[in-house]
Amino acid sequence: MSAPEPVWLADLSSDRTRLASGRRLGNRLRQALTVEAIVCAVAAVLLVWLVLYPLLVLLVGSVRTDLPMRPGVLTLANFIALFADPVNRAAMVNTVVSSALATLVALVIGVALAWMTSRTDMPGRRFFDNAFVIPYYLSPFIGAIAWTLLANPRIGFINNVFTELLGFNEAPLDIYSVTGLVFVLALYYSPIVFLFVAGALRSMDPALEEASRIHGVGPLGTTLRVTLPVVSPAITSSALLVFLNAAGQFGIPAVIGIPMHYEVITTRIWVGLGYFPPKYTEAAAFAVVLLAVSTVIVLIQHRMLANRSYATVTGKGFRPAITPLGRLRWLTFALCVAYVLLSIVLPYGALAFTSFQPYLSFAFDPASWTLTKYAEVLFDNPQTLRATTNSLILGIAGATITVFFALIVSYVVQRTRLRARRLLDYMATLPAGVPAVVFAVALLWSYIFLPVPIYGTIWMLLIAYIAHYIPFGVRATSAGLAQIGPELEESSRLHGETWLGTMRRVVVPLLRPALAVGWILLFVEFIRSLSLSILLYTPESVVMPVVIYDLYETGAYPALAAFSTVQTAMIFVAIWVAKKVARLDSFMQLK
Amino acid sequence: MDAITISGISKRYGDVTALHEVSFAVGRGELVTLLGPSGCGKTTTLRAIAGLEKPDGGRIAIEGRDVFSAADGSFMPPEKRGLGMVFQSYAIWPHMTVFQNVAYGLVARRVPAAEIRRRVEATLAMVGLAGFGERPATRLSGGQQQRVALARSLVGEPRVLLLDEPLSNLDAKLRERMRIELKQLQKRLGVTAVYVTHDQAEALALSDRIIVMDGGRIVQQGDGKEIYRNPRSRFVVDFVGNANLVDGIVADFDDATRRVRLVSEGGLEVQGTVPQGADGKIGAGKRATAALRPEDIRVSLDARLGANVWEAKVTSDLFLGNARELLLDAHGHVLKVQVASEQPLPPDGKVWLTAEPAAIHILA
Repeated sequence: MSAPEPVWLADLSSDRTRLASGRRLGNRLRQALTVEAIVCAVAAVLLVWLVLYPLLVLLVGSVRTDLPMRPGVLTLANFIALFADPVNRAAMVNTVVSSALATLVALVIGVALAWMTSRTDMPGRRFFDNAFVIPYYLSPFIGAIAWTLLANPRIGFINNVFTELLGFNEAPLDIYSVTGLVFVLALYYSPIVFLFVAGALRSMDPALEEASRIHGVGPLGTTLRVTLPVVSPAITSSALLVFLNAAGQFGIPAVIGIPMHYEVITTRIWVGLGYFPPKYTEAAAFAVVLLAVSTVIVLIQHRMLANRSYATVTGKGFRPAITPLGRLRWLTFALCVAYVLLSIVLPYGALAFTSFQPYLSFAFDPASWTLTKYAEVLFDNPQTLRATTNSLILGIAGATITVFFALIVSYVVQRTRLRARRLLDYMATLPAGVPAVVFAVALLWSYIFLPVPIYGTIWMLLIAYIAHYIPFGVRATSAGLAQIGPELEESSRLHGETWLGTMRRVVVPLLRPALAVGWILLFVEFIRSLSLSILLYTPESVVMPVVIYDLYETGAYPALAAFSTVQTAMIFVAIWVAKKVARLDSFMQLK
Repeated sequence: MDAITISGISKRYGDVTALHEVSFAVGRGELVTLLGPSGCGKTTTLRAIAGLEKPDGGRIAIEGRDVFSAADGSFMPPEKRGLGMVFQSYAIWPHMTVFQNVAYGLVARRVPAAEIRRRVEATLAMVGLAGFGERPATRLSGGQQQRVALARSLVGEPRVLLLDEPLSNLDAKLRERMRIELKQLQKRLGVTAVYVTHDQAEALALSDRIIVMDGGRIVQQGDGKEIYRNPRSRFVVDFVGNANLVDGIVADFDDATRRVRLVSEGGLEVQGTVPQGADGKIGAGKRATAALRPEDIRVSLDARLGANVWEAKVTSDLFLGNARELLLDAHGHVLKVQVASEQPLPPDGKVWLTAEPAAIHILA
C-alpha cells in the first residue's frame, strides 16, 4: 500500500485533473465534430423537417377543432363524426375487403409466375423474367383507365368483341365492379410478389430440396414441406407489401370505384377535401385511420422479419433445380402469355389504338388514324405542356436529390458508429408505412397556413416527393453499400484520402449501379405519382398524372390515351438510359 | 454381392462430357472415396448414385437392385432409393428444429411417433448433440449443422451413406476431429459409404479405397498406400501428396528391373523406377517425368558417391514447427525438400542431396 499523499500534493493533482478534463472536453468536441457527424446532424434535421413535422401536424390536427398553429381545442369530435357516417364506415370495410382480395389474387398470380420462370423448363423463361417486371413500372392508375377502355360494359373493346363478333346479347364484362377493381389491383401488384418469391426461389440452396428427396419424400411432398416453407417469409412479406400498397392506392379505386359509388378510404379523403369549405379535420382523422391500418401491417412485417430471417439463406449463385413439366410446359407458357396480354399488351394496345383516333371509336379504321392528339398534348394544350414540363423537372430533380440524400443517410446508418444513426434510420424508413394520400394530407396541413410561400408552388410537390420516397432511395443505396466491404473505404483513408474524397472516388463510383437503380425507381414513381400530387397541386404546379385524371373525368379519351402513352414512353426511356448507365442485364436487377 | 455396382455410366451436359463410362463397385461396409479436382466427375458420380442426376448411359445397382439402367430406361427417383446423404452445404432446413430435421425421413416413412422420438434422440446422442432437439436449426454453429446433417442421414439406418465434401466448410482443427469421428462411426455402424472430396489428405486418412478421377474418368484406384506409393500417372502423383516433378529424356531403361535413368534439360541425372502397372510407355529417348516426394530426399553436408547424388543450393528455408521445408536449386530445378527441424545447414547454403532410386517414380 502506498502512503497517503500530503495535502498540497492532492490539491495540485486535483488541479491537474481539472485542467485535463477541460482539455478532454475540447478533444471530445473536436472528435465529435468530424465531417461524418456534421453530415449526420444535417441529415437528421432535414428528416425531422421532411418526415416528422408533417406527421406530427397530422396527428395533432386529427384531435383538434382546427389545424395546429390556428386557434382551436383538443377534441375527439373528428373521429366521432367520421365513424358516425355510414358511408365512411363502408369505405373502411371496402378498403380492407378489396385490398385483402387483391392481395390473395396477386399472391396466386405472383407465386405461380415466380415458380414457372424459376423452377420449370417452361419455354421463354428469360423473356418472361423481364416481361413480368414491366407492370411494376407501369402506372397502375393508367392501367385501370386502359381497362375501362377494354371492359366498360357499354363501350369496352373486349365487350364489343363479344357482343358484335360473337353475338352475345349482353356485355359479359363490367370493369365497374368489385371483381374489376380487385382484378386490376391484383394485375398490377402481382409483380411485387413475383420479384420477392422469384428472388427467394433462386437464392435457395437446391440441396435443401435434394436432401428431402434423398430422405424419402417425393417431388410434391418436397414442394409442400421444404420449398414453400423456406420461401414463405418472402411470400408473406410480399403479401403484406401488396396489402399496404392496395389499401393506400388512390388511382385505381378513383377510376373504377368512384363511378360505381364504391368508395375506399383514399377516395373518400379526396372527395371530402373537394367540398367547400374543405373538411380538413375530418380528412385528417380519416388519414389517421388509414395510417393505423398501415402501421398494423408494418408492425406485423417487422415481427415476422425479426423471427424468421432465412428467406435469403445465402447470397450464393445457385443453379436451381428445374422441374421438367413435359407437355404441361405449354399450359404454363399459355398462362404466362395470358398475364403479359392482360397486364401489358391489351391495356396499352387499347390506349395506343385510342390515341390515334380523332374521337373515341372502337371501329378498326386505319384510314382515320391521326397524330393530332399527340400534337395537341405535346405542343398545343398549355395544360398538358405545363404538366409535362413540371413532371420532368420534378422527376429529374427529385430523383437526383433523393438518391444523394438517401446515400448519405444509408452511409451514416451503415458505416458510422454515431449514436444518432438508429434514429436517422427510423425516420428515413418511416414514410414507407405511410400511404401517399395520408402523407399528402399531412403535408397539406403543414404548409397551407405556413407563412412561407411553398404551398401552391412546385416546391410543395418536390418536398412531398422527396419526403415520401426517401425509403425507396435508402433501400436501393443501402443494398448497394452492403455489397461493398468497408475495407475498400478504410484502405482509401489509409492511403491519405479524406472522407469526402473517399466518398467521391471510391463509394460513389462503386455504387453507380445501385444509384442508377434507385434513380430510375424514384423517377418512375415521381412521373406517375397521382396520390401525392392530386391533393397538393395547384394550376401552377399541375403534373402529368393529375392531367390524365382530369381528362378521364371529362371523358376526353383520345387525348388521355395520347398523353398516357407519352408518360409511359418517358418511363421506359428512363429505364433504358439507367440500364445502360448501370450496365444491367435484366429488369430483374432493377427491383 | 456388392453394395453398389456402377457399370459404364456416362453423362453429358451439352458439349461437355462429365462422365466417360465410369465403372466401379463398392463392397458392403466399405468406405470408398472419389477423389479429384473440381470438374473431374466425382460429384456427378455421387449424384448419379443418389438419383439426383440421371446418367445418359450405363447401369447402377444398389444392393443388387437396379436403380438406373439405360438399357431398359428405368430410373428410380431418389426418395425410393433408401439412402442417406450429407451435403457440402449441410442443407439443414431452416424452418425446422434440429429434431424435425433429423426426424424428416422417418415421418415420411410413417414411423410411429414414439419410435421416431426414440430413434432421433439416440442418433442425436450418437453424433454428440444430445439435448439439442428443440433448438431451431438456424441457431447452430457450422460444426453442429454438420452433425445434424450426419444424424439426419443416419437415423433411417440406410444401407448406403453418401457424403459430398461434408467437411470442406469446417475449420482445420474441427475438420481433423470430424474425420476421425466419421471414420469410427462408419466402421461401428458398418454402413457402406461413398465419400467425395478434393482434399487428398482427407482421402488418405479416411478411405478403405480411393478412386482418383480426372476429366470424367477413373485414373487409378486402390487403398491409400497403393495410390501414394505406386502412382500410375503424372496426374496421380501430382494430385495425391506433394511431389517435385522433373521432366527429361529417358537415357536408359531396363525392362526387367523397371529401372530408368533420366536426364533433364538442365542436366540433372535422376535414377528412378517405373511403378507397377503405370500408364503409358517408357522407352529410351522418350520424354518422361521423375516424381520425387519431399520426404524421400535427404540433405547432407558432404559429397557422397552413387546414384542420385546432386549438388544443390538452399534458396529458401521455411520453419514449419515439426519440420522445415527447404527450397533448393539443383541444376536449375527447384526442389522442395522436407527435413527435420534441427537439420544443420552450411552458411553458404551449398549441400548435397540424395534419394533412393526405388523411391523415385518415373512416369510417362
